[in-house]
Amino acid sequence: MAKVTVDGVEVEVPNGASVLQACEAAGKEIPRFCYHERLSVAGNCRMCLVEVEKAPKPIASCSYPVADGMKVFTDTPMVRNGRRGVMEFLLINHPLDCPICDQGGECDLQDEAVAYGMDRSRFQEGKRSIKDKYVGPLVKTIMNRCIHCTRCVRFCTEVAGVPELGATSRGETMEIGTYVEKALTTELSGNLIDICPVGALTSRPYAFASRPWELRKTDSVDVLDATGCNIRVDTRAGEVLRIQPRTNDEVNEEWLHDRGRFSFDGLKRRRLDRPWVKRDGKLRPATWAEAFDAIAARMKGLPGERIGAAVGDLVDAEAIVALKDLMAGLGSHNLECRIDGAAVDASRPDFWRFNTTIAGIDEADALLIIGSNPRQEAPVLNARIRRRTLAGTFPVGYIGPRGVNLTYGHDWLGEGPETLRALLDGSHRFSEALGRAERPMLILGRGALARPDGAAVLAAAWQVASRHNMLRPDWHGFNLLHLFGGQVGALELGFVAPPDLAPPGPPQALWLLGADGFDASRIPADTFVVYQGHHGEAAAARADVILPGCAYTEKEGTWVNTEGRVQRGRLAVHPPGEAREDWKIIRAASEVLGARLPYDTLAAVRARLVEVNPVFARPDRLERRGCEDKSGPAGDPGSLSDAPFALPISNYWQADVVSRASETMAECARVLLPAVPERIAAE
Amino acid sequence: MSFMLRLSSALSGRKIGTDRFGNVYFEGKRKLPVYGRARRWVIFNGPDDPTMVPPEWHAWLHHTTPAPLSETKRYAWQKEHQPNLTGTPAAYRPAGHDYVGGRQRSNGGDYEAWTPGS
Amino acid sequence: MSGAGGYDDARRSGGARIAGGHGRGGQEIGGGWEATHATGNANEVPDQPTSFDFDAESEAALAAIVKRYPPGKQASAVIPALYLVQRQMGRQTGSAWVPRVAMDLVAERLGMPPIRVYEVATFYLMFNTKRIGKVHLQVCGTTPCWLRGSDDVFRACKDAGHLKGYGDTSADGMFTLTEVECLGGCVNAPVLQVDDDYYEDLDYDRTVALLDALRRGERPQPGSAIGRQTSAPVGGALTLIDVPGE
Repeated sequence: MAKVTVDGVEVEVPNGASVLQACEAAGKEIPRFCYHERLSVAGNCRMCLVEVEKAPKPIASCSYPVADGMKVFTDTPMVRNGRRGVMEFLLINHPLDCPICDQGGECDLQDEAVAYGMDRSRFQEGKRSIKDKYVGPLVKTIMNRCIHCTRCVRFCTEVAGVPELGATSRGETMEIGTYVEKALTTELSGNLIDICPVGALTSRPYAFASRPWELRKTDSVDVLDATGCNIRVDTRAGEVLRIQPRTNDEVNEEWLHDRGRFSFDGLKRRRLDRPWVKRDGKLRPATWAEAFDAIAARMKGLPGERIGAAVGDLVDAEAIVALKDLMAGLGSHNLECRIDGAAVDASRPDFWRFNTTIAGIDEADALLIIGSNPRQEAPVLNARIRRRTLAGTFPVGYIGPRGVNLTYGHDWLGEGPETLRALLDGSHRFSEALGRAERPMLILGRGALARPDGAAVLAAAWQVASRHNMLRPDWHGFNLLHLFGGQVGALELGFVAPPDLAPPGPPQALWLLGADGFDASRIPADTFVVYQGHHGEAAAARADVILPGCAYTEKEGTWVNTEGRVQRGRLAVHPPGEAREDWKIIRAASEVLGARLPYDTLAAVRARLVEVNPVFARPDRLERRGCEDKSGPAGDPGSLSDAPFALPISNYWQADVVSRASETMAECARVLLPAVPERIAAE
Repeated sequence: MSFMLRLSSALSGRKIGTDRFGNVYFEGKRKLPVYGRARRWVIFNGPDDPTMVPPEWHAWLHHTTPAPLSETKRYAWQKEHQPNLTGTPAAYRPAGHDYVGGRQRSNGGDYEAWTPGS
Repeated sequence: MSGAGGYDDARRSGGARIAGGHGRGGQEIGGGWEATHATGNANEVPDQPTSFDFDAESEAALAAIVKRYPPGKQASAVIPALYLVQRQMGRQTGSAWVPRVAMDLVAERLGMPPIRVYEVATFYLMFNTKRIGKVHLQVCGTTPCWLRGSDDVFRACKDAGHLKGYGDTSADGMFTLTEVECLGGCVNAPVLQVDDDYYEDLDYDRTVALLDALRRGERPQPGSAIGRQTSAPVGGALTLIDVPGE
C-alpha cells in the first residue's frame, strides 16, 4: 500500500494504482475522456492533468503510478491552466454542433467545457472534416466529433473481442474506423454508444428522438436473455425511447447486449391490446367480460387432470405463481415451463442454476462449455469469460459445433456426446487440464438439454463436474446457462408437473401464459386454448381466447436470472389498450372459474412468492453456495445418443417474441446474419 | 392611427408599390444615419399582421433585395402566400382533432396492434 | 470597416492555405503527403486488385523475417512484411504500393486482426496505400534541405517529370512526387530520395538531368551529385591532410 496525499487528504491505495485512482479514493473528481475503469489505460486525451509535488510539469494522472509519500494537487493554477489548454486543443477540431448532437446533455466534453472551456477559440484555421463511417445498423457515426480517445477501439479489442475498429492514418488525418467498410460483428455494439465521451458514436434508432432531460428513467431488469442485465428504461409520454444499462458489478458490470438494448421498438408492434374470443372458428374482438365468460363456459367443471398450463420465456414470477395457484385450485398438476423441451431436472436448485455465479467466473481457472454458445446466449456473460481468459491461464474446452467464434481462444473438443463420454472416463486430453485446475467450472447450455436424450446429457455433465472436482463444499462448478429471463423463475416456483403424475390424456383446456415459439400445431384440434401474453404469434393465432398481458417494461415484476438472482423490474410505461398486468388477469379469471385466489395486491402476491420459495424474499442478493450433495440428477449417461449438439439460438437478433417484432432487430439480422457481409465486395 | 400613418408616410416617404393583397409599401426619403440606408415600411390592407407580407415584398422590406421581386413570375410548385392562420377557423389541426371531426384510432396510433392472420 | 476587413482577409487567406493542404507558405505546394496517402477508408482507394499472393522470393524473405521473433510474437514482423509486399508489387506491377488484399494476407500470415495491419500501413508514410508511379520521387522539404534549395529540386521535379505538385503522378505513370520530412541526409542537402536511393547535393539542373536519366530507364550512381565522397567537405578533405612529423 502507498500513502498518497491528495489536496491535503491522505489516502492509502495499493501499489501500482494510478494517481487518478488515488484522487478518486480521496473523493476528488478528475476530468477524463480516454480513461475508463474497465478498459486499458491509453493516456492520450491528457485531460486528467494534476500537479505532483516536485514534478516540473503537470502529469497525466490516469497513466502515472503512485509512489509512497506522493503529494498530489488537483486544483492549482497549473492544473487549471493545463486542463484549459487541453480543452482548447480538443475543441480545435470539434464541431460546434451541440444543438443538433444526440449526445447533448449527457456529453462529457460538454460538461468539461463548462468547467475548463473558453468562450471563444483562438483557432482561425479551417477545422478538419472526416467522412462518417458505416459500422452497422445500430451505431451511428459522426466522425467530425471524434476526439480520438480510442475508447471504442479498446472496447472492441478488449471487451467485445472483435478487433475490427482501429485508428488509421496519423496526425491530423487520423481516423477511427474499420478501414474496410463493414458492420461490426459484435452483440455488444450498443456499449460503444455509452463509452463514447462525445457524440461521435450515437444510437441510430434513437437518433434525434429526444433529449436526456426529457426522459423519465425507470430502473428495471432485462429479460431478453438469462443474464438479467440491470437496465434503465428511458421513456417519454408513455413511450420507451431507449434502454440503457445500469451498473451492477455482480451481473452485467456496465454493459448491455444489443438485443436487450435495441429491441424495444418491438414493444410497439404486433401487440395484443384487447381480448379476442373465437366464435364460429374465427377470432373476434371481445370485451374482458366476454372473454372470461367464454373461459368459464369451456373450463368450468372440467376435471383437473384434463386442464394444462404452460408458461413461456419472458414471464414474471408473480404471474407464474398466480397461474400455479389457479391450476392447483382447479385440481390440475399438468404444469410445464420447459416448452423448449429442455430436460431440466427441477428437483434441486443447483441442477438448474448457474451455481458458480457470474462474478465467480473471475475466480475460476478452467472452463468446459457444453452445447452452448455463450456469445449468442448471454453476450455480457461471455464478455466476462473473455476477460478471464485475458487475465491469465484459463483453458477453455468447447463441445459443440465446430468453428464457433467465442471471441476468445478455446480448445474445440468435439461436436457431440462422445466427447462427454471420453471426459466421463477421464480418457480425454482436456480431463488433464481440468484436473490441474483448482476451481474448474462447466457451463451446460440449456439448448443441449432440448433433445431426446436431454436427461442423459444433464446427468453426464453432472458426472463430468463431479469427476473433475467441480462439486465441492467450497466451490460449485456446475452451471446451467438458460436463454431467457423468465425460465429460471418458473423453475424456482416449481412450475412443472410432478414426475409421477402423468396426465391421463391430451388436455381439454390449455392455458398458455406467454408460451410461444413452439409448434402450435402439436396442440390437439379440440383442445380449448387460452393464450395470455403481450405479442401475437403462432400460439395466439391458435388460441380460442386471447387475454392481453403486459411486456416486461409495463409491469412491476420479479424475474430470476440464470444464477437464481431475484431482481425486480418496474413499470416504465403503461400497457397498450386494454392489456392488464398478468397476475391480475389470472386473479380475475380465478373468480369466474370458481377457484378464487386469495391475493388482491402486489404485496400479497409477493408474500405468496416468498411462501412458495424463500429465495424471493431477498431481491438483488445472491448467496454463493458450494455443492453439499453430489448425487446427480435422474438420467442415465449410458443412454446418450451420438447426435451432435445443436445451438439453440441461430439468429441472435430475433431470438425472442419482442425482438421478432422489432424492425431494428430485423435490420440487424438482414445485415449481420448471412455470415459477415463484405459490402466492399458487393460494390 | 391609420390616418396619421398615411399622413406621415406621404410626408416623409415615397410610395414604392402595392402588392397583390393591397398592402402599400413605402421607403423613407432620407437615409438613417446609423444604418446608412433608408427605412422601409408597409401599411397593411386590413388589420396589422406582419405575416400578410408576401415573400416577394418581404425580401425587399428587410433590405435583402434592392427592389421587390416580380410578383408575376410564378413556378408550378409555388403555393400562394398565406398569412398566419393560427387562431382562425382555418388553422391547421391534425387528423383526429375534435374540430376536424375526425375519429382517433382507438389505440392512439402509437403502436401497432396484432390482428389474427397478421 | 477597414479594420475588420483586414482581420477577415487574414482569416480567409489562412483558411484557404490550410484547405489547400499542408505545404508551408506557397499555394503551389498543394496536396502534401496525404495525397499519396489514403485516408481511413480502403473503399476510397481506386484500382484495388482482387488478389495478392507472395511470390517465391518474398516467401523466402518472409520466412527469414518471421524466424527472428519468438513464437506467438509474429505480429512484430508486420513492418518488414509490408515492405516485402511493397517491393513485390513494385517488381510485379511497376508500382510499389500496398493494396488491401495484401494487408489481409499479411494479417493472416502473422495471425493478427486485419485492422491492426491497416493501422500500421496507414500510419507509416513509407507505405503507399495508393497506386503510385514507376519511380517514387521523395523530396525532402525539412529545414536544412529547404535552406539549401529544396524548392529548386521540387521545381525541377515538376518541370522534368511533368508533375502538377506534391502527390501527383505523371500522366505516363512514370513518376510520383511526394514531400517527405527529414531523410537524415542534411550534410548533403538538398536530398531527393528515388525509391530506396538517396541523390544528394542537387540543384535544379542536376535534378533535371537525374530525372531524364531515370526516364531513360537508367539508375545513376546514388549519392552526392557533385562527386564528393560520402559527406566529406566539398572539394576534398580539409583536415588531416599533412601527416605530422613529415
